[in-house]
Amino acid sequence: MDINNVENMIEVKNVSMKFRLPGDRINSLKEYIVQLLTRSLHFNEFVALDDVSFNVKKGEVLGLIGHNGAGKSTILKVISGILEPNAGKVEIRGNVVPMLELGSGFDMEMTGRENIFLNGAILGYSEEFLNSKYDEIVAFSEIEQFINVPLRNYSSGMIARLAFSIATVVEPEILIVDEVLAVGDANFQEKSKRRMMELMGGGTTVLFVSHGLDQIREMCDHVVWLDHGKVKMYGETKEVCDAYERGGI
Amino acid sequence: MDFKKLKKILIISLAVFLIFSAVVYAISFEQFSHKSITGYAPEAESIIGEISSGTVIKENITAEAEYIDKIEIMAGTYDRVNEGELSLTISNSENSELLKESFDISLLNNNSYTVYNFKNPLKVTKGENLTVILKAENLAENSSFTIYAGDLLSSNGENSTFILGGETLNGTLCLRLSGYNNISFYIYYWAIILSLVLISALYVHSAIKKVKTNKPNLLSSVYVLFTRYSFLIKQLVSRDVKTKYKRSVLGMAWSVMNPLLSMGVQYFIFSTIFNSNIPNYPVYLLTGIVFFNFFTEALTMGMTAIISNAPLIKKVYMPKYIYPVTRVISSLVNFLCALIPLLLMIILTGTSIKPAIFLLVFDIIFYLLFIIGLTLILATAMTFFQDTQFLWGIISLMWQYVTPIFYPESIIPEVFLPIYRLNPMYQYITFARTCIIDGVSPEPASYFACIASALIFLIAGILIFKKNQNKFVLYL
Repeated sequence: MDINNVENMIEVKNVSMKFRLPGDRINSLKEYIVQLLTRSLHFNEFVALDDVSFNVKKGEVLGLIGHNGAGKSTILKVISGILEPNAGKVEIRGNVVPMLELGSGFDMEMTGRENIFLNGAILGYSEEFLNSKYDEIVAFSEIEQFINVPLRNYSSGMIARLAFSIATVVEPEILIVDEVLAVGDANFQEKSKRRMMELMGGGTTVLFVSHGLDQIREMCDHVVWLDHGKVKMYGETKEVCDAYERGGI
Repeated sequence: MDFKKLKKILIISLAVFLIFSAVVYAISFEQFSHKSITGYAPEAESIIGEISSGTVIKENITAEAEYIDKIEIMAGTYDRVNEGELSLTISNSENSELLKESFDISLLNNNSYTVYNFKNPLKVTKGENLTVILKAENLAENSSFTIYAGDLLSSNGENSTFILGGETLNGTLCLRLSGYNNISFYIYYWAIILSLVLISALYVHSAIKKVKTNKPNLLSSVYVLFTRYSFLIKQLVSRDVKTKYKRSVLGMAWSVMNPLLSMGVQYFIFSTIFNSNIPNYPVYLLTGIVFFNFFTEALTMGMTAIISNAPLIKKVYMPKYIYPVTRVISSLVNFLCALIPLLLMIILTGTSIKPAIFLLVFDIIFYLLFIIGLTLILATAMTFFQDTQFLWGIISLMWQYVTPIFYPESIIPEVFLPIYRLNPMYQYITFARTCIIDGVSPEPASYFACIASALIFLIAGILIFKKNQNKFVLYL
């Protein structure tokens, strides 16, 4: 290992991802058997990622842009280990923490306090760690007085604040942000932006997916532009964003 | 990897395993050294007529066991309590008397088998011809009984006759001489336990070598899973348990009430049909219900674990088996709560609690593994075909009927019994009943059946799940 490689937190090397999906989505055994018998079962090959390579260095903020279906979410899934690529390799140095979409790791019947522990456990944090960071999480999310109330009584803004606090207060090594910054009121948006900046200053590597080019311009160091599963452009934020605006919109 | 912690865990599990084996040995010594044998008796066809004081019944019976310790008689009491004695003499073909005992007639059941235990087991030669003489003595006024007989029309040759009050009649009495053969399983028991310890020691030894050279192996991955994901599993289980009854007034009390209520209903319906054939019917019924409920609940919850956690599976990486396994563990918590009403019922019905009840731990461990295996299979199937849950609804209903939950095993025709007993649920429930109601350990064969069903389903489940888990996310 040479010194240059140590700095790379994420190395994506020639990753290709093909889905072999049935022509119609088959959800029942009957359909499957009928189609198998009538030989109408055909699979469409869908290339979601085609020879994608890029590196992310420690503390870098990498933006991912592209149209819907360009493969942004797929590459995030490959990086977090949820999907295994058909070809290529992803090397990760550190723990990957995804910032969950509104409530997906929450249980609406449980209180805010119980959800902090549940969600923290899902994100891979230990019990001691959550105990020590508990107060910080509650304070940052500004829901002290509702912490023992079931989540179903929260507003969506409160839930988003809680999710953001849990994911970021612990300084993950790699943070994945998929379009969740536009939550909460203006105040909290400002606060969360500051927190992100802080994290990046503290050495957290961030993968950032957004349709809002303004946010990308403001926060990212480098940008990968994906188009139909291929890397169309990879480079400095300003260059790629300008090209995207000219060509894309 | 933390070697000190690992060492501690390994030593503790070895100690627990050895203590457990010793306790099982101590409780089950009798069943591990004896194999019980039930003698032959024909299907009851008719009664042989009223037996009153002084009547002598004589029949030749072939000994089927090495030791005979009881006689089972199917009698009719004309639905009243009779008073008097029944004297039994057993002699061999050389006419020397082997046993003479006398029994209380008031204990006779009406139209079902009554068991009279001997004071001491009688040693005979297997296959030996025994002459059994029953004599009714000192019967009170208005007291009389009868015995059932079968094989009336069969041309079985010379054996199928008996003598009633000096008169030779065709047929065979519904009378069994039951006992046991000596087996020496207890010698093998320690051999099996020790070889298990030895094999695991060798395995751990080689695994630790691999760990030191950083090669992937089962031991280290199991260790990592337990240390890294135990907190997550704990959180998910407590979530399931907490939210299950979250908005109900009685909360966890439902876990206790539910089996009691369904037992109440079934007892009300079935007690008149089956009560007389089954000793301690309330406990029999409740054991079946509690065990089967665990099975249904764990599978119904576990099979949807993957699809209902789709949002998480798409976002966060964690071993996917955690979802179905935590659902099963949550049901286990429920099941353990449901053991409380079972214990209450055992106390209320005055069933004596014997050390054999400890063997339930063995039963529950392997029952749990069996359920986990089946859950993994169904959760996999469910992800690809959502029909699975409807199909499972039918199958679990059928499964419920082929398992003796509310009816006695004896209503199953003998021809089907070997197939009937292949049902793993039959094995686990019967195991539990033997420990609770009979207060003795089941025979070695039951242990093997429990272990084998658990291992077969668990291994199949793990293989199927592992092979398909990477495809789950594409179908969610």
